[in-house]
Amino acid sequence: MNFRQRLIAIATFLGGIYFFLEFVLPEKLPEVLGGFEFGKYHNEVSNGFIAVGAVAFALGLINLLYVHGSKIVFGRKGALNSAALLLSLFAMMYLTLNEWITSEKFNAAAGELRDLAAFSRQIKTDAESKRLLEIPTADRIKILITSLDSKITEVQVTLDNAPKDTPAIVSDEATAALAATNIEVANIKSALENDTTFADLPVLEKLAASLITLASGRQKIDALNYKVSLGKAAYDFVYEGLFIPLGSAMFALLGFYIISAGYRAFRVKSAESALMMIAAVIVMLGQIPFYSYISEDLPEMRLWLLQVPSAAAFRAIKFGAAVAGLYMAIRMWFSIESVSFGNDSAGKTGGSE
Amino acid sequence: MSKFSLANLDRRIIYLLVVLALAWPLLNKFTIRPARMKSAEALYKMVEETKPEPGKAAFFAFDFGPNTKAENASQAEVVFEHLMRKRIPVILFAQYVLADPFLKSIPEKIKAQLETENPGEVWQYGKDWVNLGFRPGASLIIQSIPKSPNLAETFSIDAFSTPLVDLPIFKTPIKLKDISLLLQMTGLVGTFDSYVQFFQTQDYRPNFGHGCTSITIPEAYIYLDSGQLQGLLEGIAGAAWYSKLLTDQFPNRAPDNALLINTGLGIAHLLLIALIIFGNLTALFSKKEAKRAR
Repeated sequence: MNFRQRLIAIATFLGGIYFFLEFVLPEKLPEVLGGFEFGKYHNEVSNGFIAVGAVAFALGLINLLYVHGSKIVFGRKGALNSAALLLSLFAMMYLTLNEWITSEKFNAAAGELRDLAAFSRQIKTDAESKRLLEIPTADRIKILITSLDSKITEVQVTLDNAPKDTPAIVSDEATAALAATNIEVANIKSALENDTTFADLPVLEKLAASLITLASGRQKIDALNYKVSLGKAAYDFVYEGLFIPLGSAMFALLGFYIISAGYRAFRVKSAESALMMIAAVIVMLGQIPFYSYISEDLPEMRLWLLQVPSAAAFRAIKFGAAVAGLYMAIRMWFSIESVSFGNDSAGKTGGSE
Repeated sequence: MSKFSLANLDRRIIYLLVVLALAWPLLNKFTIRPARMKSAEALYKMVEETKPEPGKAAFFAFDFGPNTKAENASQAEVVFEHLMRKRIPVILFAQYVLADPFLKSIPEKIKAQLETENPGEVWQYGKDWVNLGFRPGASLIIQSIPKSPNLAETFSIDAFSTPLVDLPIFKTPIKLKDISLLLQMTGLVGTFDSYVQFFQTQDYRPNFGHGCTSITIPEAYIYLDSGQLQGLLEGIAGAAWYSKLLTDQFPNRAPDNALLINTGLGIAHLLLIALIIFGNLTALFSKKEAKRAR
């Protein structure tokens, strides 16, 4: 076992033992055993594993580029298919990235309003708790109002450019929230003029509430604007117009093969095959709308077949698979299953080094 | 030149028959009453008996992609519609990346349909449903749900990057015990098992309804039989029966695709049965003929 394999084996063992103990141990060990909370950082550990899993996507992409890119560069057999694959890959990546970046832009714009709402609430909380801050409350409010002025103008532009078919509930909600924000801002401005210490703190909570509604309204209108854009039309064409129907078509092909195979291979040659055919016909007839023309009892017969003999057989298969899975997991855990460590010589024999 | 033989019908003729069997009802919008599905009735009853309560929600996983859209999307539509009619807040989620677009399109479609049917009534994002989007991590993310004291903290933002705490559904902290219903629609092997295994604590397990593709029905029955599942939608036939139950309760409801697809598949099943019988009869006659010739 070389250094790399040893490292993988150690990491595999530690990963396995962590998840095993996290699952079997109580949330907190008894005080006699030190009261240790084993799963205290489970979320962080899980996120780490999820991040490692996400790297697999990048590895897949690199592998695709390597395999198909080399075919194209060296003009090997199937280069045209590889070119089509990579072209589709890049086109889909470009459109998806465009979709993602655009939605992130809208989310960020709404996020700025939410941040200002949070700032407004924070000013109120700090003022109520009489925390001593470097910047006095009135000055913090002035900063908030200055930041809000430009945002309000931006939202007004978004509302003015909303698509014509914007649902009334969306535009009305956003317009009402904008009006409420304007009123609260005007109230705050006049209060600041009259009272330099700013005592009217509840108005900050009202402002925060109207800003959150405004953020949601802006997000909806931005999304509606994007819906009628060229980028969205291109994405929809590729995803909903090509990808979804192609995916469904691939699955639908199964139906054709099954019917063709059923006609050719479902021949009664023995008692067992007769039994299987009768069961299959009952199950099929019992779930289709036309059963009532044959017998009203067919759904019940189908149910019995599924609940009794079929469930018993499947349960046995599941138990068998689970035991095999456990055995396999133990082999992986202790790195006995050498195939998974890229050791070709061991992989060929399926044994350990 | 090969002789035409009934015992060995050209596969292209079979394919043509399948196309006709499937296309005819779809093109003519021909529907027929679906077969009764007791497992779908159990799911319907489970949703029907769930009361919308403040601070409670249903957790609905769309773990399907375009491949199984015909069955799973129809199932998701009818169950989501039922939840919306009952005003049960729904938390939508997916552990399959290709399900992401369906998390957006299905609620929008149902919302438009319900608002047309019920003028004056409104179904709102954030109040009636929340879309958590696709979350990577498979069973790891499912394991984190029962441990979470507040799902708004665990997931933090929705699919549109809105902080969950800003949405009305999450105004009060939602943890596993506040999830009154767990629903999952999938055609994928492995995704369903992780909910059965991990979506529970020692003293609480939400009622669980599952929608599977026709291929995985026998496997799903073992969980229905053991009581780990309280309701099941068996492929498109289950969705069609659920749709029929909804129409019985809400007669003004617009017709959906489930009945149409189910009728088409029913005719295709009849064709398959006819072909199997036909294939056996022709094989029998050719055997007898061969014997006679000998």
